[in-house]
Amino acid sequence: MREGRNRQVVTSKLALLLAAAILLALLVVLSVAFGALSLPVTEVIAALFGGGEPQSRMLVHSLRLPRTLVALMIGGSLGVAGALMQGVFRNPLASPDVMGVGGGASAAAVAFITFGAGSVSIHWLPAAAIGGALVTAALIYILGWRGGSSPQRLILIGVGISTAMSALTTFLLISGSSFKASQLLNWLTGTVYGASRVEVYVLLPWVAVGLPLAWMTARRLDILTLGDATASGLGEAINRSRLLVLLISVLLAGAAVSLAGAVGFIGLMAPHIARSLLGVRYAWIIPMSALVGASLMVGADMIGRLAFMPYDLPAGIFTAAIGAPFFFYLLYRNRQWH
Amino acid sequence: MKPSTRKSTHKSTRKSTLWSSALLLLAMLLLLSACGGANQPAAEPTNANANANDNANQAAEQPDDSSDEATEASQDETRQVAHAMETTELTGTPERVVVLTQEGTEALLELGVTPVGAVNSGLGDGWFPHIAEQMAGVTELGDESQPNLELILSLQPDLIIGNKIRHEEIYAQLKEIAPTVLSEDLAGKWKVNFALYAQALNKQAEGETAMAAYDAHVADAKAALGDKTQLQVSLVRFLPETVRIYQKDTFAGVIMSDLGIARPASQDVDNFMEVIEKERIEALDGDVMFYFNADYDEEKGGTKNQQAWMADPLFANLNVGKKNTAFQVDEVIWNLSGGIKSANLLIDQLVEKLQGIEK
Repeated sequence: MREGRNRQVVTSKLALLLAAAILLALLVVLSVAFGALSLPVTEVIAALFGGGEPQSRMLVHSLRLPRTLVALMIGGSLGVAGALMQGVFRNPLASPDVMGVGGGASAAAVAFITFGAGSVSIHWLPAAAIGGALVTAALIYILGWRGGSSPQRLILIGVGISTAMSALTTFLLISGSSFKASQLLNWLTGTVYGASRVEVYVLLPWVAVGLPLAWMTARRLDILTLGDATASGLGEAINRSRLLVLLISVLLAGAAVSLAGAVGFIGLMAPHIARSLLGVRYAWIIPMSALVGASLMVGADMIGRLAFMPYDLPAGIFTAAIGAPFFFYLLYRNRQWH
Repeated sequence: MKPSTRKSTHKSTRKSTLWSSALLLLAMLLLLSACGGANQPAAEPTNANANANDNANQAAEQPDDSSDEATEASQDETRQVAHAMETTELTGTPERVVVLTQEGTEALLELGVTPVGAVNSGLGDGWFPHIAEQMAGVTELGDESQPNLELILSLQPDLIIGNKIRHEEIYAQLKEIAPTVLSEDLAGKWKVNFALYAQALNKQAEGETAMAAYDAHVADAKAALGDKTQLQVSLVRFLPETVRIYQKDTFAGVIMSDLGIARPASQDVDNFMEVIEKERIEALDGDVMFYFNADYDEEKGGTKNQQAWMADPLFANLNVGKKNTAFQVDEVIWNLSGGIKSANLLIDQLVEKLQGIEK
């Protein structure tokens, strides 16, 4: 009897996942089909498979498809990173920024542009950004270590360090040339403008390895959610698990941020939406967060490209436009009357 | 049954080995992807010439009042244009030019070329007033810092002109669309950029004429000013929240250096600008002050700030306050547009104002 009901629940959850995947696929198709340059949909489909005019082919394969794929992978990575963070910190308001990913990557990127951009190719910017993210996360973890890693301590230190990174970023922006500063503003908001085939190839291994790895930590996360005492009672090596999950989360978020800049709120929103649809087991939440996050990013990028032509606005504006009210809503919902 | 301690340690060792190897793989990917990203320029196909010919033939088919099938075929000599990214080989005279910087737009217009697409002037709707007439019908491509790549592609250009600071990131994609030339710097370097653009457009002769005319203009202005060049000229920008002094590495600063005009000590520095608080209001002082207001919208925050500062008793104590030698000038010409047309206009406005001052 119970088995039958379990199977029913699993089937309905799979159906929801499938629906999310279909929605994402639809968004991808729309994103490739529409843009500043309007082409008939038949032309777009032909170009996708190697036919059509040379201009259409270049449009689809060099401009729109890479950009859409990069947006998809970045949204997915950030969504999963957010899910992992919320599991580790047992805090529904946690997001990759808590571990200083956004702040550290931004500070490193600005430092790179301010001091190096003339002599070093700008294509090293992602490496600098991800280095900054890792260093900041490591710093937070080490500072928060007192014989163990407590989530509350990590959050507090993480907020403090993120604020320090933000101050450092602003300082570097002001002290550098104003041309470089204006160039960076788009990056700091979070954008997939200028994404090309190369970025797709660079990001693909991260996502292909990182997402399955994240999914494999699902059981550990479920146990960690029960609280430190219960988890260690169940035989879980809590510090090691926490470190592992945080590492995967920072690597995923760091890769995303290094390419797209400090895109906000996807890591916050995607896990919440996933949780409200699929319950609390991380084996479900992680793939759903990936799908929802990817949809959010592709959607935000589409709005940025289509709604304000000929301007090409950073997707980060729209993730923030939805994310900030969402964040307030979460704060409101989680308020506790003492 | 024996307690399965040995089994569980065996299992956990295997599992942690799995994790370690997975993480090692991830770390190696980090290195590979960073290197892969850095090698990007070399990986793109360098068939710039083939592209140019294709686009040129396609452009000939499209309605365009400035192109002519006869001129298309003439002048097929190739030239190597060394620019900020690499040396690009260009053939013939480009007919459909896309320009991605504001100073580049002025350069093109001065050389008698109307672009098919240009980035916006950044100040409200439409083009800068002093080029608006010549830019009628030109497709607007968005911001200088983030031009719309699809629109550029749709215009089927045969040459793209940009700047490394702004467009290094998208250089590979621009190259795929058309041969692309990027200038190195923005700030005060418009003369260097002008020469580069003239070469790219195959208008070296016209370029040299224009520069010679500009140099003659400078020499005439110097002669006309005489010893008025010893008046210390201060350059100030009022923004809604800040006030800046503009130093030597600015558009107006370079022109004033060319004219041999003296600057006050705070501004006689090889830098771009400095933000000034009211405590340092003497940094604004000189014999003459030219200021421009950064008014981004109807709020006119820049003008409001300027009026507040000039109403301040501290300002009345300055030389320019006492002698009433503070003059407002057009921000577009003096600061924003940054090309040869603005340079010529600036010199005229400068000479006119300075000649009216008693020393």
